[in-house]
Amino acid sequence: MEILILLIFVCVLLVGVAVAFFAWTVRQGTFDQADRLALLPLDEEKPVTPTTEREEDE
Amino acid sequence: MTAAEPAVSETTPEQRLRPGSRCVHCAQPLVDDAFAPFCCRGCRAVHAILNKAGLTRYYDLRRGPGLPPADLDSRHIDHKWLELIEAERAEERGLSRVELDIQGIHCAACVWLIEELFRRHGGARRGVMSINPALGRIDLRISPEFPLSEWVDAVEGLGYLLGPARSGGARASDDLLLRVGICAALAMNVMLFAAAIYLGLREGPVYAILNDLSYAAGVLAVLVGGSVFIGSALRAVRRRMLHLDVPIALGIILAFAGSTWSFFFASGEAVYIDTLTVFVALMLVGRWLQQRMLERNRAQLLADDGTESLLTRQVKDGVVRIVHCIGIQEGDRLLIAPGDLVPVELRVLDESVRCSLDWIDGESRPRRFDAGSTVPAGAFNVGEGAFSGTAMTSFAASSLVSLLSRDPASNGDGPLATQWWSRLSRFYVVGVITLATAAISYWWWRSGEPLRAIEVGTAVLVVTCPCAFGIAAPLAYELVLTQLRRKGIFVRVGDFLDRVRAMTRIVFDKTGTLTTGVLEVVDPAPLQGLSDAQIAILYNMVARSAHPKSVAVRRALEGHPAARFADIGAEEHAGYGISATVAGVPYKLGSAVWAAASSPADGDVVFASDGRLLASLTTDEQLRPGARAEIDKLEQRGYELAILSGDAQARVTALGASLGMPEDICIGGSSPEQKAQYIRTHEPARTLLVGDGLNDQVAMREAACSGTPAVDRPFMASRCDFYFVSPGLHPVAQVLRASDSLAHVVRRILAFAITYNLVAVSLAMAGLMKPWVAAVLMPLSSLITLAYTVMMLSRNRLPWRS
Repeated sequence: MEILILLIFVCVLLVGVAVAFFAWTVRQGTFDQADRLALLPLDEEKPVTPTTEREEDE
Repeated sequence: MTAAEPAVSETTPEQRLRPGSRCVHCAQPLVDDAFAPFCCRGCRAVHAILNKAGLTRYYDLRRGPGLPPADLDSRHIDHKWLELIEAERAEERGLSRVELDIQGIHCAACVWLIEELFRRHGGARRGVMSINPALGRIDLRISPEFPLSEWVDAVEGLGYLLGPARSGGARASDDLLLRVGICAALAMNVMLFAAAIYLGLREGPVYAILNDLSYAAGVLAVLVGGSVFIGSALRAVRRRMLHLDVPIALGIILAFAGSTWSFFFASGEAVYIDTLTVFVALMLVGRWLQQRMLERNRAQLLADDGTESLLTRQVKDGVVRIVHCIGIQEGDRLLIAPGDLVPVELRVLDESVRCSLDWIDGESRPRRFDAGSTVPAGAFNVGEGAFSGTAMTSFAASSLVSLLSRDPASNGDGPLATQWWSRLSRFYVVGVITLATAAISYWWWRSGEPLRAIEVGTAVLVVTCPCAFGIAAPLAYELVLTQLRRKGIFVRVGDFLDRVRAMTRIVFDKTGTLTTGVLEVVDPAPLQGLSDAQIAILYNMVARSAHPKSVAVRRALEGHPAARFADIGAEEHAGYGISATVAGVPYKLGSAVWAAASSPADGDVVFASDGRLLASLTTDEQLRPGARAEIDKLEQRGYELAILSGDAQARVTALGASLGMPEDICIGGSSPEQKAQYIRTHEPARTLLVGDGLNDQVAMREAACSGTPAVDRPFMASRCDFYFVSPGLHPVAQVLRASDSLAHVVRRILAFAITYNLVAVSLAMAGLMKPWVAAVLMPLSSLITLAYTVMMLSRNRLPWRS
C-alpha cells in the first residue's frame, strides 16, 4: 500500500504543473479572446505574421 | 461623405418590414422601416462598404447579433492624437510600436475584419498587429511605410472608433480567474481525498497523508479564494455598508475555524474542509463571471482620462502645433478644425464661423459667430473650414473643467450593495450567529461534552453558508448583463440593476437623446414635383455642403435615380444658402427671403430658380425611431416622464407635443445648473436621467441613475450607469424590465436558499448532520439554483427580449 503515498505525491505534483500552466495562459490573455482563437484553425488564409511574404491585392 | 452614396439598399419588396425581421448588418430587431432591411443609416453604410470591399465573410464569422455603428454623417471624429503618433513615427527608423484603444469590438468577426483591413493595407509586409478584444486594445508594430492614417480611416469607416491607448493593464478579472483556477484544482483534489475517507479509509499512513493534505488544501483555498470575500467584507464593514460578501466571509471564517479546531484539538480529522473548498471555488466562479462582464462593458468604450487627455491646435510663432489643453493660457491663439471641440472661451478671428452648442446647452441648431464674437467652451465646429480665435481664459478657468470634473464617490463596483442586500445580509449574519450559539449551548447542556457541542456548531455554520444564492445571484446578474449587451445596452456599474428598480421618474434630454441630433426634411412631398434635371441640380448643390440643412435635403434625395454626382459650380453663401448656375439659369437653395423673395413660402429651406419657387421644404429634428411608441409604453407602465432641455422652450414644447407629452412636463431653456436644480427638487432618489450632453453632466450627479446614447462624444458614456448604441429609444424600457425580471428571479433563488438552509440547519441542530451529507447537499443545492437561474433567464423566456 505504500506505493499509494508515492502516487498521491505524483498527483499533487501534476496538479501543481496544471495550475502553473493555467496561470501562464491567463497571463497570455488567452481567455480574453477564446472565441477568436477558436476560429484560427478554420482560417484558410495565413495568419498575420511578419514572415508571411504575400503579394497584396491593393 | 461628399461623394454620392450609391443606392445600396437593394430593397426588394419582400425585404420590407415584417414583424420580427432583423437588420441585415447588426441583426438587431428593426424598429421602423425607414432603412429596411437595415435598422439605421449606419448599418446600411457599413454593409455597403463591406459588400464593396468583399469583406462579407464578416457575416459568416459573426455569432449572434452585432451592434449598429453610429451614424457616420453625424460623427465628430477627432484625429489630433493620430497626428501626434504620426509625428513620433516619423522620427523613428525601423519598426515602431503603436498602441491604440478601440471602441465597438464585440465579437471575433470584428477582430477578423480589422485584421483583414490591416492585411489589405500591406500590414503583412509592414508590421504585426495583435488585438485584445476584451481590453479593446490594439498593439501595432509597424514599419514607417505602413499607412496608419488610411488604415485608421478604413476601420473607423466601419463604425469603430480608435483612440490612443490609455489606462489599462492588469484587471481584477484576470486576478480572479487565476484564483478560480487554483481553487477549482484544490477543490477537485480535496473531493478525491474526501471520497477515500468517506468510503472507509480511517487509519494508516495513507489516511494521515490524505487528511493532512486536505487540511493544507483548505488553508490554501481560504488564503487564495476566501481572502477575496474576507477583504471585501472587511471594507464593507468599515464603511458600515453590509453586502452579500459579509455573510459569505463569515461563513468561510467560521467553517474554517470549526475545521481547524477539529483538526488540531478534537478528532484530528479535518471535517467539512472538502465542503469548504468546493464552496470557495463555486463562489469565486460566480464573482468572476460578474466582474468579467462589467469589465468588458467598460472596455467597449475608449478610456476616459478626463480633461488631461484633451488636445487642441495652437498657433505659435506662425506654426500650428497640437498641444494638451491643460497648457492653454489666456491670449493663446487656437485653431479649431472642423469637428473639433472648442476647449476654452474663444474670441473668434474669422468671419461666419458655424458652431454647434448642443453639447453644452442642448440647442439643436448650429449658431453663427462672426469675428469679434465669443464662442463658449464646449462648442463643436460644424462648419467646413477651420477657424482661429484667441483664448479668453486659461484652460483651468474654462467651464469645461468644472462640467467634466469627476464625482469621487461614484464607484459603484461593490457587488449587490443596495439597501435591500444590506438588510438581508444583516438578517443573515445575526440569524447564523444566533443559531450556532443556540446549537452549541443546547448540546453542551444536554451531553455535557464540549467536543460534541462544537461538532454540532460547526455543522450549523457549514450548512448555513450562503452558497446557493452566493453563486446563483452573480450568475443571474451575468446572464442579464450579457443579454442586455446583445441588445446594445451596456451596464457599467455593478449595482445599477438593483438601483434602477426603485425609479419612478424618467427625465429625458431632448437634443441627441429623444432626437438623433440630425435635421431631416419633415415632408419630402414637394420634391416629387421636381423634374429629373432639377433633382440632379439640387442634389449636386447639397452634396458638397456640410450644413445640417443641406445634409437633410441630401438625405431626402438619396435613392432617387436622378440624384447622381456631377460637376456643377455650386457656391455656398454663408448664412444664406447655396447658389449654382446651370445652363445659364441661376438656382438658389436657402432661406425663403434670399432664394425666392418674390414668391411667399412657408418652409425654412427653399429651392428656387431665377427667383421662382420650385420646392419649399421644412426641416426639423429627427426623432429617434420608435420614440413615440416607447414614450407611450413607459407612460402606460406608470412612469412619470419629463423632458429637460437647454433648447428654446417653443421647440421643446413642440417636440413634447409630437410625443404626446403635455406642456407642463416639457421644460426648456435650462442651464446645466437649472437642470441640476430641477432634478434636486423632483425626487432625485427616484429619477433616471437619460441625456447625452455635457449640460446634463451636473444633473446626472443629482439623479439616482443615469444613462446615455452618446458613445461617440468624449466623456459622457464613461460617466453614466449605462449606455446604449441602438438607434431606437427602446433600451430605456428594456433596462427597466430587465431589472424587474432579474429581481424576480433573485427573490425566488433566495426563497429556495432559505428553505434549504432551514431544513439543513434543523438537521444539523438535531445532531444528524454528517460531513458527507453536507458534502453532497451543498453542491446539490447550488446546482439546483444554478439550473433554475439559467432556465428562468434563458433567452426565450424573457418578455423584454422580444
